[in-house]
Amino acid sequence: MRRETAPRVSRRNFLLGAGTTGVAALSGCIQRRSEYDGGDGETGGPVTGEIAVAGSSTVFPLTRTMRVEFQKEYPEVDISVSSTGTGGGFGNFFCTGDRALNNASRPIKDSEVEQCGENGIEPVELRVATDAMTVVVNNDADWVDCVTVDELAQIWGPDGADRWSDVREDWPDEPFELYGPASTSGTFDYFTESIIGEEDAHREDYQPTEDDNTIVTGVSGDDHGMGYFGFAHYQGNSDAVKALEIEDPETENGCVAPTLENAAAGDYTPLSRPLFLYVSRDALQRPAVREFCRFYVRNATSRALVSDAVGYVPLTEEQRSIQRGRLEHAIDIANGRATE
Amino acid sequence: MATENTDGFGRVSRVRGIVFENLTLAASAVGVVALLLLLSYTILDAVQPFTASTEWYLLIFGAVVVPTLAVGAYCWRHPAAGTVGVQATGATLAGTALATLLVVWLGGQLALLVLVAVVVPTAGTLAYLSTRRQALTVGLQTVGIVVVGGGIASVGSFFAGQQATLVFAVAVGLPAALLARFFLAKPAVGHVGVFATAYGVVGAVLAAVAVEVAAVAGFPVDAATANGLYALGVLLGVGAYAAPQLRDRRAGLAGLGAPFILLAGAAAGVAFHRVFVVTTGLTAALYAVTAVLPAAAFGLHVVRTANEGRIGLALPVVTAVGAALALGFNDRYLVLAPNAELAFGLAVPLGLVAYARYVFDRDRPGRTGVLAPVVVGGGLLAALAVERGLGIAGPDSWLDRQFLTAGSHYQPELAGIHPALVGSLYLMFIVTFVAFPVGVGAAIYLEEYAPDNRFARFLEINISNLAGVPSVVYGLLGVAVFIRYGGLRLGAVVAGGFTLSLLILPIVIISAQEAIRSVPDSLRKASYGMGATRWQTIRNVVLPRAIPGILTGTILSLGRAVGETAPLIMVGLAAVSNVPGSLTGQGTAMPLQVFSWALEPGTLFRENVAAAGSMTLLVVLLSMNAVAIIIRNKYQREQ
Repeated sequence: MRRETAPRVSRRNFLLGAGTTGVAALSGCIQRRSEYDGGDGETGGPVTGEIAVAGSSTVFPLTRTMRVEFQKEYPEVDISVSSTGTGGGFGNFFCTGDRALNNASRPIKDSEVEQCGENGIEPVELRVATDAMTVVVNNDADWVDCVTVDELAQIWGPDGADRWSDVREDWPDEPFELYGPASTSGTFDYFTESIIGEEDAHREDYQPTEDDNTIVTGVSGDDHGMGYFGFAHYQGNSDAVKALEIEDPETENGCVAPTLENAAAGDYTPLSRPLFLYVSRDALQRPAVREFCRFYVRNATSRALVSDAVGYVPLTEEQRSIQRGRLEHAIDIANGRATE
Repeated sequence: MATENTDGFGRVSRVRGIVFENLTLAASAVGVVALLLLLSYTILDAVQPFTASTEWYLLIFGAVVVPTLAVGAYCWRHPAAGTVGVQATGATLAGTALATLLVVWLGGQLALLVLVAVVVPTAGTLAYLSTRRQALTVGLQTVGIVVVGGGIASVGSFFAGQQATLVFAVAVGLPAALLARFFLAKPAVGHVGVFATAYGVVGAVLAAVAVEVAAVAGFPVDAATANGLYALGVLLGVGAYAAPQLRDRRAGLAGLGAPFILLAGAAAGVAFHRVFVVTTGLTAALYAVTAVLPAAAFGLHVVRTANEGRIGLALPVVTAVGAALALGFNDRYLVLAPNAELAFGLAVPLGLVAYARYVFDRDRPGRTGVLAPVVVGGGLLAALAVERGLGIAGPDSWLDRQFLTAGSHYQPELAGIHPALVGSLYLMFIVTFVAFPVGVGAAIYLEEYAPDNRFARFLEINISNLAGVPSVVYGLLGVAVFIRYGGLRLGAVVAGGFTLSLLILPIVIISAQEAIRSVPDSLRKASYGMGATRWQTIRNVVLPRAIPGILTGTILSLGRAVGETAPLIMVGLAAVSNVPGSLTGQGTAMPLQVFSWALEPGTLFRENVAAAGSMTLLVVLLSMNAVAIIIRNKYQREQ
């Protein structure tokens, strides 16, 4: 029991008072910011608004990088980036009209274009970089340095080989431990198309994952493991796993190692792939979206941002001018200054 | 083995017991060791203690560890001082927490301004008022009116837009206020008026539900028909109440006009809103009508009735003037001084000074204990000064000031958690204000009011089952309810907050029910025996004893909400984002940001930055749990 002193401070009342006063003071500070910035003028005041990007986990690091640089120039624009997988981004975010932009590590499928069309979304494709998709094995797998496209198809195709020795006589008589991206991933789609040659013909008895680091962990802990992912993940883990050279029968180049130089020169086939940013054409009426796309394409040739910071091949000047023309044409259509 | 005892006293084998005891010991050891390993790995990656120089360790040992040990030893020998010391340290930490919250949320400069212009004067006013009970009541009532009015304005703007809210507040609020004055003068009429209005509202709600159900079932109703149906609902509701009243010719039948006066006001408001579009000055007008005007009316009433607590009206004035000054100053002058340090320097001693005043006013024993946080904090400051002055290299920690103030970045050294930290704070704010009132209200109903019938039991069983539903399912529900149906944007912070509120609602209800149930029935019976009503019993007997339990349960469930990832991914919160511009804007939260770092290609991101993020999340969670534990212990001692 406390002694009763005449004026008693009730702490409950004090807390109540402090709390309510605080809330009252703060409730005035919460303001709604308009979701869209008004107008479609090319200039006039600072560019403001919100941009949200969903889609490929492969392109995610590149968009995240561009976001930081863009916001240095346009501090009034809020950009958020999520990593949902290319297909997940198109199906659940972009074609439903919830997101104006989608990262994609493969071109949009016809079924997705259809879904977008049902909701009045007109996708505009912008190529933003090139990736050298990398097949990796364990560091101790000294029996293999180079594989052919046919061998890869035997390993990863439907009813794929169960043991290494089934593919090549002098490989060990051990089962494959295969790790790869899940089927929602654009990387999965591109690999299936370019190596096996038809859609969805990828074998199903492998370890699918949404996280490329799981593939690194799996392959580095498994003497007979094999996996594939975008070059950026190989660049970040080049001491943990070993990259294989690829021999493409279509060309006469022999074994080509996955490097940014080989991809830029066009020698690393068929696993060099374009990376895309898709934008909804109507969203190009918003200055924030428009300027972000312009900025993205303008900086897609930057070595510092694309190669050093992320690990992809920048666009060539020629490729960039094609993308720029395509973007400006879409902007003109969106703003009623041109027709299709 | 032959035994000596032949007097029929056999032996019992103790092997099983000993084995079992050791097994339980092993089980607890496994858990504790695993947790310790995990934590130490995270700390090693986040703080990198081995990168610090020997001099730095010597400095920390001399300036921080030794004084702390000395204080500990002193408190050990003087228990009274020890108690005061622990409490004083707690008060200092509370000041630190306040400063941290303000700085993280508002930035250094605005935080300092708010502290100087709002927190200190408000706290001072409250401290003064708390010596005069009546004044305190008046002050809190005024603040309450302002908060409720502001809340109505905010929620209305959020769902219906500012102009509609303002028009509605004027067209319905004004007649309602006039009616209320009239009813206070004539209680019989007032009674009928209030009940008739309530029945009318119920009728309108039922009509609205019917319209929605029809729309979902594939029979969409156009607006005119819908309005007709609402009016019909009001009419039927009022009729249901009025019929027996009219039959018995009861007093106060004039009150039956009240719902129709309000309905006419609403109709006029809707008509006005359709015809005129106003965009300028809406915010100020809206808050003036809903918050300032009622508070002013109340103040006038207090002054007129020569209430002794008139001085209490100063409380909201002090706060509002302070807030206006702070915001005005902030918009006009940008002071690039190290304001975060100043804010901390102001707020940290604030808690200690308040506590010291409290101790010295009461002449409590062990007053020297107040010096404990001063000694320890002084040591810390001295170490910091020496470290900076002599350039001694501390550990190359990833979890540093830069990390707490920066946003997402492609270079691991420049990446930070600030937007995610603020996003998590916003989420907690929303969850607190949604889940706490709803959950505690439901618990009070179920424990105190609900009849013990099949329906109540059915509710209880369902709530217990809901507590076990996986969080992803709540995420799907959140997308369906708040985004596809409720019209919020995918990725809005408020959608995440509502979803998390749903997620922890069953837990809040159950823990609050437990707390209410633990109040002995004899107390309730005694209260009834004294002639108290059920409401008075709940208000004065049950709730005061149940509050600590309710708070503990709620804070622990908040902790669960802070760490949830899956529902937030489902409602589209981003992995990388800016600080939310508003509650309806886009944002991210700490678990999402840590998750996205763990998926990064670069090892520094995956190992060090993600570890620093986990540490931040853990510190927030553990602080919340510590608060819950402190509240529980404090109230248990008092009872």
